[in-house]
Amino acid sequence: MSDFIIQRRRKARIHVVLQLLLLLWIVWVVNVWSFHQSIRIDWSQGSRMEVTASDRELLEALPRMVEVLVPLDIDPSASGRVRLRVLSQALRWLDELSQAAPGALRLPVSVDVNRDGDRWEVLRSQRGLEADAVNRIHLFCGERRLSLDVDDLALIRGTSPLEPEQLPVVEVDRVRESIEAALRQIVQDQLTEIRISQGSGELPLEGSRGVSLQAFCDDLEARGAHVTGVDLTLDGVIETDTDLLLVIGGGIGRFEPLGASVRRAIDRHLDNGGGVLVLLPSTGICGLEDTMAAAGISVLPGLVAEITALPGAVTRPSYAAVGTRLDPFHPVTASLARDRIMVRYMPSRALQVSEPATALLATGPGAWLEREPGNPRRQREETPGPQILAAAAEVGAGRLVVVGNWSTVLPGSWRLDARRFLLACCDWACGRDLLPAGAGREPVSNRIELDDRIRRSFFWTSSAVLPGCALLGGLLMAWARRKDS
Amino acid sequence: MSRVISLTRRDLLGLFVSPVAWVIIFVFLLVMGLTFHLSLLGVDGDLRQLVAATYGGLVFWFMMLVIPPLVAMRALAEERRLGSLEMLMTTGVSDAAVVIAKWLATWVFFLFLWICLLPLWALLSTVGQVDLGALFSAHLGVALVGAGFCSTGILASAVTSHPLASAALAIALNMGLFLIHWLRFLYQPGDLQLRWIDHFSAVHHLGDELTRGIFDLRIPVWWGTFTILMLFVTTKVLERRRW
Repeated sequence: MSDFIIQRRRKARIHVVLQLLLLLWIVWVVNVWSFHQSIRIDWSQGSRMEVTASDRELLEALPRMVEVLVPLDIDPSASGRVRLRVLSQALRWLDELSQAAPGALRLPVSVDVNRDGDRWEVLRSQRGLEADAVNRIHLFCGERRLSLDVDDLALIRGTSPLEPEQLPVVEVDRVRESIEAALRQIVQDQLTEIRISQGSGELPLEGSRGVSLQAFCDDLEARGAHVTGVDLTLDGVIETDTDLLLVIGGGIGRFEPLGASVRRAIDRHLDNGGGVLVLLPSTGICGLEDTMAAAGISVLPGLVAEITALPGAVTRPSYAAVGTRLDPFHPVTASLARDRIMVRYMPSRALQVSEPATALLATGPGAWLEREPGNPRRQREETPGPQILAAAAEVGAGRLVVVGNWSTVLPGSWRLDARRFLLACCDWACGRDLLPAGAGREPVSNRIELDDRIRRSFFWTSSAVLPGCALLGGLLMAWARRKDS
Repeated sequence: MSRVISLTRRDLLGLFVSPVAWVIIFVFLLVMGLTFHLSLLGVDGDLRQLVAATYGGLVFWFMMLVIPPLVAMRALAEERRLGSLEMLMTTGVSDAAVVIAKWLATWVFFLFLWICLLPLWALLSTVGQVDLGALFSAHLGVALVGAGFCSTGILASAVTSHPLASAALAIALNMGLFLIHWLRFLYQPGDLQLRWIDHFSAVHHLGDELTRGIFDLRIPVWWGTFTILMLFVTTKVLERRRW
């Protein structure tokens, strides 16, 4: 009898072990299935993280694996916090995309440069990144690299002389659009060839960042362009693979106007479908006036002047021109036109535009054309605003863009809306996507003003009213129990 | 099924008439209420970030890890210690029904605690726009992860007849589940192991996904299967006396 019981117990134990193993196997199989067949839904307000069908199509079309590195070195100021929030949102979006297509986009790697310096050095040397390539999203596809700055991901408005206490806020959120454009671009095999005119007194491409075009060139290269210099006065030929020729009419010394042979080469380049972007010198001519005139763009003598606000609610006339009016239909400015853009040039030439050219950027009505050199002063006979600061035209098969200011490419000025606008000009003139496309969206703000009344009411509700209700409930229950007993 | 419901009702009633339960409710509301208030100040009134800030801090995780074991510690341990479990079994109720009822009562009580916090959100919605999608998914996450943590509490309660030992064991088990997340620092992004760690990590599920309004089918699948597994093991532990 006892043998029978022992045998039954042994059988029961074996059954239990088998049942447990079977259940473990089922749990494993179900989890493996869900691991590979994930269904994700974004229930958040605005569905900012919803991977749409077009996102999936883009990811599926990526021919190679794209890797992402985000080195973070954010200062603790209010502006730094806003920038960190934008980068964090971009990281989350990349994370979502990676989850949707793990075979196409690897999970992004973020590294805190200050806390994890050794790791950053290793990653930096592996990827060949510069020491200051922080606070950017670096995408890698094979040998190719493309970097997105915070300014590409969002339009952030900070303090201004008129509003010194204004906290930085994200006005336009372009995270999804920028990343989509960057992914489209990085998998392309062909680089955009950009040549920058040299040899007429222009700034060198490389060298000390204060007196070179290095910051500008780095930014273009980070967008998938290959940037080299070309001495047109020596060569006289623009290579056929050039997508965009940049003529920057300023430098350390005096800018020498381009000669007739160079102008002919540029005309041929335009006829062959190339792009030309001319940044005008502050004074004098650049040598391409005839080419520009043929396209309907002429440069007026003098500089644009405007009443400028200074800290302490002081205003005074200056040669700082602020471009606020954009052509909402032109491809260069269509994506920028929805934003409240403020392109600050100091100084800027004024342009006159006729058919077939289009004015891209103009000042408000408060600006005027100051013909007299020296201190600007508003006089009745001077031409009132709006003054045109940039124009574009299609010349033959090519594209010509003229901007009234050259100093925007200097490292100190290469930022904010002036940078965005010029990158958009480069993008259109070379006929390729150099820049993140798309207009972006206005972020939904759910911020409430925490005044004293709200603070007090929430404090007392959370610390006294709700726990007090629980205490009352407990006391009532105790009273009821005592009454029953 | 009706037996499970009536057993659950009996256990819930037992929980709500116990002074310990009301002390737990009081402490929970006081601590989480103040956390809510501090989170609101911390995010400077930005309601988009408030859900993640409230349901992602250390205090929140302390509550998640500790409350279910404290509620569940007496569920089976006390019954065994008093000898009432054998009496219950003589009524023809199966072991599985007892385990499910105990777990269900613990879970409902745990959910009741979180529901008690909703008036704060309702009050907030009178002055601003609360992200209801994120709030709903955060509570869904609390319910799912809480279901898993309650099931470990019931298992621990079945293993030992001392309530405090049961609570300590359950907290240790929950802590193990919680600490899975930190294994991810051993791997690089893109590693398969990292994705599996995220699959099991409660911190990832709540902190990175549900409190931000992202629902992933993996989360209910993992916590659902984990809960079933724990309840099955608990049933077998109860059945142990037969073999």
